Amino acid sequence: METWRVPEQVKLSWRCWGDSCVCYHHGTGDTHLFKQPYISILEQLQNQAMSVEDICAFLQQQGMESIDEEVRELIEIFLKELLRLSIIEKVEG
Amino acid sequence: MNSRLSTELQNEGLKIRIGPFSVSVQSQLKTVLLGMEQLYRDYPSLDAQDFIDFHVAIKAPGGLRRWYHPQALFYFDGRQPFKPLPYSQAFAFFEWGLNWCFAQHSNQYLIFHAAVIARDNKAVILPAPPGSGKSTLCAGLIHRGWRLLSDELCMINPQTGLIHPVPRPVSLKNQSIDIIRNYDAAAEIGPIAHDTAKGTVAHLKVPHEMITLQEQTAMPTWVVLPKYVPEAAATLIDMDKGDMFMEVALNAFNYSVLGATAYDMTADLMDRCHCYRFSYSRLDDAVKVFDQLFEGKV
Repeated sequence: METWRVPEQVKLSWRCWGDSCVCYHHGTGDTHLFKQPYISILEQLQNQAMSVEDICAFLQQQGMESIDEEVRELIEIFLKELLRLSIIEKVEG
Repeated sequence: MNSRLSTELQNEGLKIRIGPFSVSVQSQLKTVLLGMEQLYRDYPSLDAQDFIDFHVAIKAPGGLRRWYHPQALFYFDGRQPFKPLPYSQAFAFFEWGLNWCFAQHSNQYLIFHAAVIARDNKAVILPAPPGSGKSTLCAGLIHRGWRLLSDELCMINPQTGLIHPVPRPVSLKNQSIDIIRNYDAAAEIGPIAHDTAKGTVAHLKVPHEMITLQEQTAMPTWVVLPKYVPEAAATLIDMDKGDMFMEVALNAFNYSVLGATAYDMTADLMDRCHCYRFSYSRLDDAVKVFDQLFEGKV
């Protein structure tokens, strides 16, 4: 199963106001804006490698009621975007 | 015409202080002489031995171009960073060129593309893309009790977080020129350049008292994203600070140069300031809202 995580060498700085957070990637020098629930997902990926299923389970724990195919697709799109931005890496095996 | 100013401009260069910068301007072009006389006569002059940060000149090219479709050339430290523009746009070219000089060569500050006004040294930052009505709003407010720090460059000191004024003439475009001319009889407007890339352009003189306060820094207190909307009532609404962060950062000249420092400074700015979106159509209504903002009634 494919899992994803923020690599140890990636240093991120965060500043949040309400449901908005900006994130500075010290490696690329880019700043990104995230809103919930994406902020919580990224926080989790900083702590551990997670699959799409793990993320869905996490969101359910957080109180998201209906995890359907559309939500799964949005998570996959989000992960692809984080990969493109060099924020996360795919963990094989 | 002020003979000293004109003589210096045409010879060794007019040396003046603009905010934290020392500038030498050289030109023999009539429209530049007139514009400088109208809009720059109040800036403190510098002595010949003073260090100059920016040496700029506006010149006419040699040869046929002096007569056939005449042009103006902008020089910075003897180099030409831009292609020539029509002679009729020479003064506006000077203004645009000097903006570029300041914005590209002052990395001791974090610089946003934004107007800044203040009262009691509490500053409102007005970041906005072209066409948003930022300069018109700024021009109206500085004729109704607000002090101009800049129409184009919000320069924040990384050590103090304070905004350093660089009060230069306010750039007005198209209908805004007459709007401001009619808004206040004291408004002094310089040479008008037609058919520029931005349409008709003219610059509004900075009131004398604001030049005398050009060393007085101000504390960022509000960030307001303005937008001119025809027929709209003047309306101020809270803006998400994350969204404002990105708006401001996208309008920074040297965010990527300063890297993590710029990120921290912009985040500190969001922590410290109230953030709003502002739509308006009439200047008088806008002034009332800004007065309420200052008085804490918003």
